[in-house]
Amino acid sequence: MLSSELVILVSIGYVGLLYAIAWWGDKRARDGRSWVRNPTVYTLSIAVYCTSWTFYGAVGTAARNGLEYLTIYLGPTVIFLGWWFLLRKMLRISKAHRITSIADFISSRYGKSTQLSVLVTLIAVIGTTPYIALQLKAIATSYTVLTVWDYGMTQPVAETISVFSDSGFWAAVGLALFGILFGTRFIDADEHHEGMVAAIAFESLVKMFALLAVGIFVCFVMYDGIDHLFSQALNTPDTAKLLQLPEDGSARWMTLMMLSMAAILCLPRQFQVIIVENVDERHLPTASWAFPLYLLGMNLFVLPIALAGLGALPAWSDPDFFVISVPLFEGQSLLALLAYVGGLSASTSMVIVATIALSTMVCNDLIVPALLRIRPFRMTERDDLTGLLIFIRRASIVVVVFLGFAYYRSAGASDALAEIGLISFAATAQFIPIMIGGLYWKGGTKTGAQVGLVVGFLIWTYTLLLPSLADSGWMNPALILNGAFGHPWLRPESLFGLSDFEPLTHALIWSMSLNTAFYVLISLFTSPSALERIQATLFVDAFSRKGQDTVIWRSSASVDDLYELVERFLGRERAFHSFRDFGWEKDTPWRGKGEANADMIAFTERLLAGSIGAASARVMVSSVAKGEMVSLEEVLEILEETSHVIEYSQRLEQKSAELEKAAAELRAANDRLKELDRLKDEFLTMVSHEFRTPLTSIRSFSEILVDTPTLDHERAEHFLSIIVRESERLTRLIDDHLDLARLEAGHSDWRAIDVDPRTVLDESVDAVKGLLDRKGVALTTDLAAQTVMLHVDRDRLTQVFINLLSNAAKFSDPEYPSVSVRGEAMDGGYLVSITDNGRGIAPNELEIIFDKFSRGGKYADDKPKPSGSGLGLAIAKHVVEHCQGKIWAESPPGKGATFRVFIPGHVFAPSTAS
Amino acid sequence: MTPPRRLTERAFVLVLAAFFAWIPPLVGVFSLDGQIFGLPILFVYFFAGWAVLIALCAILTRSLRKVAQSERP
Repeated sequence: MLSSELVILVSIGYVGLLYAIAWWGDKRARDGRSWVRNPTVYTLSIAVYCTSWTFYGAVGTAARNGLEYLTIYLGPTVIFLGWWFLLRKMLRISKAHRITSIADFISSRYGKSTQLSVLVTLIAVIGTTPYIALQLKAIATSYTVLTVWDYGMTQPVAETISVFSDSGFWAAVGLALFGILFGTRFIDADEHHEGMVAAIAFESLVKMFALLAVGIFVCFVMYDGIDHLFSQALNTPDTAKLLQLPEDGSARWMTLMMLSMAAILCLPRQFQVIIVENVDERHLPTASWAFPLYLLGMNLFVLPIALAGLGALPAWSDPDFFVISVPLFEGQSLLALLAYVGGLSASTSMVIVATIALSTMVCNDLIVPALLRIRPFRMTERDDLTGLLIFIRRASIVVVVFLGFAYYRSAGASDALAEIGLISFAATAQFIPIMIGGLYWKGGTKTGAQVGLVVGFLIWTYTLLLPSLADSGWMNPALILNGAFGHPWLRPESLFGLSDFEPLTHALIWSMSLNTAFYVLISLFTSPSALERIQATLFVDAFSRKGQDTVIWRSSASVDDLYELVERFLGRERAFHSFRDFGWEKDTPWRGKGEANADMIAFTERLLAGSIGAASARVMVSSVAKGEMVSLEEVLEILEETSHVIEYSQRLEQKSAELEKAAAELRAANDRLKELDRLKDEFLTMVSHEFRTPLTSIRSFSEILVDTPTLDHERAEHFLSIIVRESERLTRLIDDHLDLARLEAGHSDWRAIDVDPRTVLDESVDAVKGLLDRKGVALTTDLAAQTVMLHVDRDRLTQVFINLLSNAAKFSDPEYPSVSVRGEAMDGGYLVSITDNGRGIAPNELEIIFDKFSRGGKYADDKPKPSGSGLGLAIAKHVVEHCQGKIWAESPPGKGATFRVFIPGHVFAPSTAS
Repeated sequence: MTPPRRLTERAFVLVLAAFFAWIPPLVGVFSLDGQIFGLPILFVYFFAGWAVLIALCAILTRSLRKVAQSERP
C-alpha cells in the first residue's frame, strides 16, 4: 500500500512532465527544429494503440483466456507487415487531399458528402465513448488498488465514492485540459500537433519500460527464470490450460484477429497518428517493422505476469490489475508505483489522442457543416473564424472526455476492460467495408456507403450495445432474453436464430456481412454523381495519377476574397505564409483585386480542407467564388459537347477528303476526255491523210491517162497497174478499218475452235514466206515439242501472226535482215515471240505502238514506211485480248524488237476433245 | 535492384504468411503439450514466428523503400 498523497503527487508530477514535453515539442516545431519529425517518434506515437487495455487488460485476458490476448496485437502486425498495400495508399491519398480525420477520409472518397461525414463522426463518437470510459476506469481502479490493497488483505475493498473524490474525474479534467492546450493551440492547415506527438511518444517509452520492468521482476526475482515460471504453471491444471488454445475457440480467435486488423485502420486515434500526424511518407517503412517489434516487446511478459498473479495472489483479486497487485503483494511498492505510472501513461495517451481526433471530427464534420446550414448564423460572412473554430474544438474535447466519464460512472464500471474495448472495436470496424471498398473499388457509391454504414451500426447497437447496457441495469433484460416483440428470432444475442456463436462473433457476423452486402448491392443499383466518380478515381488510382485538382472552378473570385477567407479560418500569419509561398511557387499575384485563377481557388479549397474538412471547405469556397463553381455535370456536358464537335468535325474532314478525291477523279476523267478528243482529231486527220495518199496517186495517174491520149501502151499499163495497186491499198485500208471498227464494237464473227498454235504458226510462216524470201530475210523457227490446245478463231490468230511477221520483216536490219520465231507452252498457255534485228522501238513508244495509226513508232530519225495501214497492231491487240491473251513489245536498246503474244490454253485437252 | 513487381509479390506473400500462420487451423496445430527450452510450444511458436516475420519485413522494407523513393515525383 502506498499513501494516496504520494500517488497523487506522482500522478500530478507525471502529467506535469507531459505538459512540459508537449510544450517543448511545440516550441521546437515552431522554431523549425522539430524533434518529432523522425521515424522513431512516428513509430512510438503509433504505439498509442497500446492503451490501458493492453497494459492492464491484456494480463487480465491472459489470466482468463490464455493466449487469446495476442490476437489484438497480431492483427495490427499483419496490417503493418502489409504497409505497402494499404497504409501506403491511405497515406498517399490523405496527403494529396489534406485529410484531417477518418470522417473526412470517408466523406472525401464518396463525393465529399456531408451526410456521410456526419454519420462517421457520430459512430466514431459513440464507439469511442466506452473506450475512453475504459481508460478512466483503469486510472481510477489502479489508483484504488495502489492506495488500498496490501499484502495481508483477505477480501477486495469495494467502496462507492462520490464524483469529486473519484480519481477518474480528476483524470478526466487533467486530460481535457491537456487536449485543450496541445490539441487546439492553433488551427493548422495540416493538423500536425507536434507537442502532442512528442508527449505520446514519450508515454510509449514509459509504458513499455514499466511493463518490461514488472515482467523481468516476475520472471527473474519471483521465479528462477521464465522456464521455472512455466513449469510451475504446468503443474496446476487451471493455469496449464491457459498455455494451449481453448476448445472451440476458433471462431472467437478469428473474430478477434479481424477486429484488431480493422481497429488499427479505423480507430479515430490510430487514423490520427498513422495518417494525419505523419509528416513524411518515408517514416512508414520504418514503422512497418518497428511497430510490430514494439507490440512484441509489450506482449512478451504479459502471460508470465498473468501466470504469476494466478499462482501467487488470492483468488478474489482482479486479474486486470495484476501488473500492480503482483509487485504490491511481493512488497515492491516502488515497482508497483512504476507500474501505476506506466498504466497512467497508457491511459492518458489514448484519451489525449482520441479526444483530439474526435474533436477535429466533431468540429469539422458535425458543427461547422451545421453552422453553415443555419442561415441566421451567417457563418460565411463572419470575419475572424479561428477563434470560433478553436472554441468549438475545445468544447468538443470537454464533451468527449466527459461523455466517457459519464459512461464509466454509469455503465462501464462492471465489465472487464477487454470486453469494453471490444465493443468499441466492433463499432469502428463498421467503417472497414466502405473504406477498403472505397480504396480499391470505383463502383462504391455514396448511397451504398451510407446505407451499409447505417445498417452495420444499427445491428451493432442492437446486438452488442443493448446487451451491454442491459448488463449494467440500464434497461430491461427481458428484451435481451426474449427478443423484440417477444419474438425469438429477434433476440439480440442470437439474431435470426443464429445461436452457435458467442455474442461478439455473433454481432460481428451479422453487422459486417449485412453492412458489406448493403454497401455492395446498393452501390450496384445507384449511379454516382460526377464528383463521386472523380473522387473515386482519385482514390482508387492514387498511385497512377499526378493531378490533385479535383474540382474545376469557374474563376469569379478576386484574389483578396480568397485570401480573406483563408485568413478567417487560419489566422493572419498562416494565410500570409501559405499565399505567399503559393504565389512564389506558381509565379502568380497572391494579393490584390485581380481575378483568381482556377488553380488558386483549388489551392484555397485544399488549404481550408486541412482545417475544416473537405465538405465544409467546398461550401465556404463556393460562398466566396460568387459565380459558384462549374457544376461537374456541367463540366461533363461541356466535355460531351466538345467530343460531339470533335466527332462532327472529323466527319466533315472525312467528307471533304472524299470530295477532294472525287474532284481529282473528275479532273483525271476530264484530262482523259480531252486527250480522247485530241486523239479523235488526230485520228480524223490521220484517216483523211491515209485515204488521201492512195486517192491522190489514183487521181493523178487517171488524169494523166485521160489527158494524154498519146501515151504509149507500156506506160499506160504501168500507170494502170499503179492505179490498181493503190486502189487495192485503199480497199485494204478501208477493210482494215471496218474490221477494227467491228472488233472495237464487238460485232465481228468469232468462230472459235480448238487449234494447236504450232499449226497456226506454220501456216503463218508459209503465208509470209514469199515476202521474206523477196527481202532476203533469214528466218529461224523454234517451236517447242510441248504444246497446249487453244480455243480461238483460227483465221484471226493467223492474221495476227502474219501481221507481226510482216512487221518484223519490214523493220529488220536492211543489210542482213533476220527474223526469229519462237513458240513455247508455259503457265497454262502458249507464248509466241517474234524477234527482228532492226533498230528496235524507242522506250517511250513501246506502249503506244498498239494504238491506231501510230505506225512504225520507232526512233525519231526513222523514215516513215507508209506501206501499211497503221492498223495492224491495233487489230492484233484486239484479237489477242479477245482470246484473253496478252500482247506486248520488248526492245532492249540495240537488240531489235520482240513482240510477244501469250494466249491462255483451255482446260480440255486436244486428244480427248475429238 | 530487384524489379518492383517481384518485391511487391514478396511483400504480399509475407502478409499472407503472417495472416495464415496466426489464424485457425494453423494455430491449433501448434497447441501441443511439451516444451522447447522449458517454454510451452505454442508460446514459442507465436513469439519466435513473430520475431522472424518482423525480421523478414525489415529486410524487405529496405528494398521497398528504395522503390518507393524512386517512384516519388
